[in-house]
Amino acid sequence: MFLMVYIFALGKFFMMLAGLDPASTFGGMGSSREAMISSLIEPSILVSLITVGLTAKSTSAYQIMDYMKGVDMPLIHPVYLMTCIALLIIILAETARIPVDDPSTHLELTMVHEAMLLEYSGRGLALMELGASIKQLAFITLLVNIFIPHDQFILISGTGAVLLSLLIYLIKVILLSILIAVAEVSTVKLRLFSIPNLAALSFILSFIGFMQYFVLGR
Amino acid sequence: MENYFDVFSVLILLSSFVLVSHKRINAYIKTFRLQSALIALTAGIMGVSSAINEGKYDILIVCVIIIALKVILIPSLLHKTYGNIEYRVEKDFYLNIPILVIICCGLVVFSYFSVSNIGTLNGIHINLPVVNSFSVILIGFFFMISRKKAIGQMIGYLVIENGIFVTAMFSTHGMPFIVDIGIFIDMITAVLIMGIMVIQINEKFESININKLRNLKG
Repeated sequence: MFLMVYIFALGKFFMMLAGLDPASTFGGMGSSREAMISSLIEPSILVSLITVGLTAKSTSAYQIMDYMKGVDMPLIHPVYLMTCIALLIIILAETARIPVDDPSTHLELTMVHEAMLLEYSGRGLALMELGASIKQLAFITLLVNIFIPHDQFILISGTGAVLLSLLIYLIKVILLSILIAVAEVSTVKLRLFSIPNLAALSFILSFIGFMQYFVLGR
Repeated sequence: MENYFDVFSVLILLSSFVLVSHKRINAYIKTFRLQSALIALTAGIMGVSSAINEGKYDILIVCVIIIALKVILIPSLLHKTYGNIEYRVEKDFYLNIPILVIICCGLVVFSYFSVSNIGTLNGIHINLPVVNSFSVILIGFFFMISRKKAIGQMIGYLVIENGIFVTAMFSTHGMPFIVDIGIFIDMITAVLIMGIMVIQINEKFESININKLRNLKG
């Protein structure tokens, strides 16, 4: 799981280098903003994933999901509720959604992610956009499969079970995407210097979840 | 049932963090309304369970009073007070917001380590909700001393009051009815008086920033 986080961080690092490379002003600006946002958001990703990992006694994503199947209604549990809300904020920030960064802006001054892609066109741009979408899907999958496990409800076995599981998974992903879209429609883009507030809130949420794990001892 | 109380206490704590991380007075009032609605929901659940199990309707009446007072009346009074004073863009707090949020996190850690050892009253398992609502009281105090404007301090007072009410509710599962009514009448009087005071301060000093109260007026 940590490998996944840092593979994405590595991809982001090279994207920042590529933004600096053509020596255009907007690319450098976008890279510096992206570096700021990702360094602000990284502690809260790690703390929330470590908390979930501690409850499951493993850091492998498969074993965590396996453990969460046995937990009765994870969203009613205070620790998981806190880490889940923290991860929602992280998804918004990490995948360049509206409260942090506007993905469809054409005004260069408000660009973060787009400013780095300004020099790309054609197939290169399509690959970059595909990469961003894959990253978003991976984070949504992580959130949805950790906090809303569904495999224990499927009683049949065989190929039908796989197809049913896939169907439920797609429904969950679409529901979460609708939630993110609602958040995106109903908020405005924050000022760049208000992003630390959001990041602090997300870090505090995951940290309180972590504390509760120790105090509750369960 | 205990799980639901855990989750609601965590959500109330979360709403007070959101309150600390806001900047504008409208947002304070909105968040205060949200927090009161959460408290009313908790009181409603508790009241329904006590009405079914013991045949007492006290907490349900208290829930209705909370909805009438804290969700509807007091926020609209605050809006009215806020509408009467002229708006002026000023820095409202002494430290910047991430530091405020992190200090509040320190308060929560303090109350986790100090209050969670008290144990249980009445033999009910109460640790987590009481700890969380105790931290709401501390955050209310901190909110009050960290804001410069008078309305922010009023909201801090109301948050302290919310925290005290929630602590009492979680630790005794329903206080005597007459005590609750006394607290509510106290609070509504306090808000009325403070509203009048804020308008007077604004008329005399042309600002509700309490730092300006040191200036001499002849």
